Amino acid sequence: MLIFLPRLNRVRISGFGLYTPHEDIVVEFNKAATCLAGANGIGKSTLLSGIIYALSGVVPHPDKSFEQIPKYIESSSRFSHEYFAGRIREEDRQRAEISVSFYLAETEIEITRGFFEADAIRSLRVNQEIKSAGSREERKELSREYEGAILSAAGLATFEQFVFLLLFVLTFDERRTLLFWNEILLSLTLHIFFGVDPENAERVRRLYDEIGDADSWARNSKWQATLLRKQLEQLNMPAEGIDVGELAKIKHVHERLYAEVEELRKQVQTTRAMLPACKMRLAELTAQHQEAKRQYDVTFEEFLKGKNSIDVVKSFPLIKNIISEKKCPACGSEGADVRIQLLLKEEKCPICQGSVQVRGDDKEYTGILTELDGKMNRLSNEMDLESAKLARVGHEYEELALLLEEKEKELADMESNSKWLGEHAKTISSEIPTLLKKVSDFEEMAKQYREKREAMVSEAALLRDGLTEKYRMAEEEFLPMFRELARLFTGLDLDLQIDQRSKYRVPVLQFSLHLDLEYRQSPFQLSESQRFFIDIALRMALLRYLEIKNGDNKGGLLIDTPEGSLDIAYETNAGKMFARFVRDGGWLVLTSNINSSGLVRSMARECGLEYMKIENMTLWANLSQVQMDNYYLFERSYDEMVRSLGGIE
Amino acid sequence: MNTNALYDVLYILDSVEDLSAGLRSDYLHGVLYLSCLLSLVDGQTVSQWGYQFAETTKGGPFSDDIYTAVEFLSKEGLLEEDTKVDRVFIGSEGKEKLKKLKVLKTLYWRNRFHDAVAYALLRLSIQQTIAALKREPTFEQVDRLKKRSILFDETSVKYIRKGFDLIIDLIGRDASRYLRLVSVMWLETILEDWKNADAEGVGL
Repeated sequence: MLIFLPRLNRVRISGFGLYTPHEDIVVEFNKAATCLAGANGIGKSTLLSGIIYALSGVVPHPDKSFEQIPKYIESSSRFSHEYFAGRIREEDRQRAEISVSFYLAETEIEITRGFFEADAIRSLRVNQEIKSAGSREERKELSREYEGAILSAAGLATFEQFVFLLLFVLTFDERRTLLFWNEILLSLTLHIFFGVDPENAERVRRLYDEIGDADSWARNSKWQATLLRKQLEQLNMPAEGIDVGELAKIKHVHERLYAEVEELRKQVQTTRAMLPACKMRLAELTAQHQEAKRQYDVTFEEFLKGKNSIDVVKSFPLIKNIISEKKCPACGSEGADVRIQLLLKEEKCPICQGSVQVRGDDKEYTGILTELDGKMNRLSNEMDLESAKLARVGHEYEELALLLEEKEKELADMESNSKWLGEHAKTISSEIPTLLKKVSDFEEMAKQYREKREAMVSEAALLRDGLTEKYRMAEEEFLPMFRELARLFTGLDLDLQIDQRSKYRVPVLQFSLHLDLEYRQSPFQLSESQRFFIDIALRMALLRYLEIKNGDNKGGLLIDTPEGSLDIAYETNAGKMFARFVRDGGWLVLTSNINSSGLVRSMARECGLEYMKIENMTLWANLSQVQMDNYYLFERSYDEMVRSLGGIE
Repeated sequence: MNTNALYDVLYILDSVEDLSAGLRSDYLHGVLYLSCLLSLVDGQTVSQWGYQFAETTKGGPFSDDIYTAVEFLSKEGLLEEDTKVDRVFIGSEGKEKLKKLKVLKTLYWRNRFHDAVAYALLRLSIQQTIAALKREPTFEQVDRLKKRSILFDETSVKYIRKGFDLIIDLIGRDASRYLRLVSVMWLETILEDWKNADAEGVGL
């Protein structure tokens, strides 16, 4: 089933205090790339948030980490009020609104939303059909209509999926969760992009949420049962009363231990996943060494061969005689030497026409030998290092696995052994039957939740298996796109491996990354800029893949001031990466500081006026006195950016 | 073709050129066996050395890689053979080629073992060196039994290393740095033990 993603056409903002003195701000996205350049604090990020808000009714909450989509959308939806309140004057609250026009495949949609009505829409245009709403109820109804229009044009299963894609895939903001290293986000995204049906992706999303819920309920019920059982076990002890403080302390210890076990499970998985990568690299190095050694052996032997075979043939008396006499010694025919020379030139023996090897000179061989010698030594050293790494990782894995075993046992003991509760319990014999019933109820409940969870885990694992297979089929097209984009930025050869993992018992997929054959499973093994731009490259490759699969669906990204983490050299590479994406058919809206525009200048040089425009946001806004005093600096920087577009530096 | 064996043959024949008018082919195997032995004592492995030695029904130590290397180098005119007296020499072209190969890192590390052997040959003579090697207990046992066997298994290397350890303890020096000295002393000790045993009438 095909899915389509939005392509921005135009945005109009009215009554937005931050952008005075202009009444209405209109930006046309009529080039593949639009750079919104402006001074600090001018509202670049706000404009991107506004576009997302118009399309989804949500402003991504910067402090909320992603756990479950509905919860995230709900809290972000509430956050939009707070977010716009400080940016819009009190008297403009009613009339302040944002309109965004965009294409979804062949459908053109234009939506207008008030800044304080996240769940309502003021007007909606689908192609030529325009609808406006007056009352609040009508506006909410129009919002539902809009959601329906999106679903039918985008081919998605739910509007939440559309919001999810907008927030987590199509918008890049370095302050928010990165897609590449968040297994849940990544798995959900891969289900949408590579799966058979968006309905499946939605099912997976629900399963993820419900597995988490069931797990939490199972733990809670187990905890309640455990507490009650401890009380029961201690009814025979001298009554000293239940020490509430002590119980709270124990609960705290239990929670900490549980978290520790989860963290250790994750570490064990990560370390275990590193082992095959180390082994693979060692095998790769060994194979390279073996190949170099084979070439070395052949060259070595050739080098030691003393005589050049063709010289031996030339000095053979009969042949030597024909060459010098220029005629056949048998019949006396003239020109026999020409034929002889021709055969020698073709490296053939003039008598039997067998091939005669021509040996190069010693210098040629020693050159090759020295090169291979260096290569073999370098590979040997790398093999030694990799063997040491393999041993270290293996050792770490064993230690972690052992520690996990200990901690799991400790946790199990804590949950079933009475010793840990201490000696503080209350003896209330009359409560025994009630307590017994409660214990049994809670234990039954915990069992049911665990069973429910396991059934859902099995279902999610099956869907994950299906997705893994789909991804592997798509990999041939997808991986080269990712590699090419990421290489433009990093300058390194990258490889992705899809791994099946389990995060908090949820079956997920995760990419492991190899940079120039080095395994980088954890995001912390990469520099900040590598993390960010590999993440962007992944998003771009996903969109390019979709575009190719769908024929002509130009996907694009909104990228918020991406150059913060980059030095000058990487700014140039990042510009090239963005330009490649744009020139291959994608679209981009990115914001940029007007004074740190190395990325934009590099991108502008690659894109030219045909593919890119630069919007000077500084013209829209009220500047501070300092900014006004130095306005010429903004103008100069902006001019430089625009000149790069025309190829003039 | 084993490149290590090719190199070793050229190197050792070049080293003994001033000392002896070529080498008997069985001596050639013997002296390279000593080079290999020194590298094992120094902590390398047979696999690092690159080829093995065997005791055959026709005697030993013998390496088919060395045999093939000599055949090849002779055919290519890098070695010269005097079949009447069973001697093999390095030729001028062989010397030229060797000069160019000596700089390769893959081979360079072997030189010091060959140099130590050449030093031993100078100090003890070839005949005495070979005699000592043949009386080295682990080899002697295999030789005495006329056992077809690959030489330098783990146990024999451990045993040989012990013999060296005694000398190292005695001189209080790092064997690796004083390889030439230690190897001569080791060979002399074997010869001395043999003479003593012989004098006591228990020698073989």
